[in-house]
Amino acid sequence: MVESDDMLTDSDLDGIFAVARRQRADLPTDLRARILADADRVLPVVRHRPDPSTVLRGGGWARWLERLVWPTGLGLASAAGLAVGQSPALFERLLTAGVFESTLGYDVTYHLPVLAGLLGGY
Amino acid sequence: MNVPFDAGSEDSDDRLMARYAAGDRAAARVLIDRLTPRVLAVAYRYLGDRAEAEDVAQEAMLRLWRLAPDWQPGRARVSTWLYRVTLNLCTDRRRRRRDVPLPDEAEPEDLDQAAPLDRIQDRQRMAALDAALADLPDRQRQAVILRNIEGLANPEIAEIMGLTVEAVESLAARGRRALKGALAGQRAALGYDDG
Repeated sequence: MVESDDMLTDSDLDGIFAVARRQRADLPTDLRARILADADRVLPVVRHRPDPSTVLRGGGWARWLERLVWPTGLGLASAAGLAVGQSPALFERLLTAGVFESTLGYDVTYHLPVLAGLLGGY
Repeated sequence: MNVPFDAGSEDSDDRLMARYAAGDRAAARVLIDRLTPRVLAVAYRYLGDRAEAEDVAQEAMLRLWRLAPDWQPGRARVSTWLYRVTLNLCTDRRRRRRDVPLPDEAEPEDLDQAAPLDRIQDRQRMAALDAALADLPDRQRQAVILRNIEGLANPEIAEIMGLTVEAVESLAARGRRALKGALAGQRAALGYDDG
């Protein structure tokens, strides 16, 4: 058991922290030189990287474009469905046309017009 | 030989990041002088090893340079981001050498202009602090270093550590209590015996 008068007070501890804080004042010259050399080495790469605003990711207009992808896709699909749904001849032709000589091809050529027709209210 | 601490520029860290990304080498110099001493101090207190702390500081700053073109001002403070990276790097290093005892390192030579006797005292206190810090659980150690040595505010520490402010307060308080317990019995040896 430690005697109470041998315990560090809050003030003692703060004094020790203050000494630790003072140590951060200086930066070793060789470390500074190494870090600066890193910065110089990376700088050409950083400088020649395209401006984020000019690439798809990050630019303001690019974000708008990304936001438009889903509504546009849905709109086009709806328009196609409407067109197929409004034209029984086109619907029939798509339903019976064999685009691919495979099960998958058959599924695609069967289900797509059906779905489009449903969307178009046929 | 050490470089005197000098922030050197009125520009904000955000502005300096933008200047560096635009190819301004001088901005890197200011960022180094402004931020690296803090990073180095935290890494040293956390790891207790000067060479490892310098490696961590260099790696953290390298990540900062690479991040510069993508830095978005206002989303976070540069120093907050850097502290977080530093602590993560330190944690990784500690995990790798979990069972290796800390080296008995000498303190940096230029603490201040204090008299030799005071400097010896300071070294004893720092050695005791480092030993006590090394025994703290990781999160308590981080909280104590950032709060009591770096002097950061609890909300910023919470952001760095990914915790709530209340959790940080609790960790810092428990860490402080644990330090006092660890240093109990050394009061006279640390030069606090004359009241």
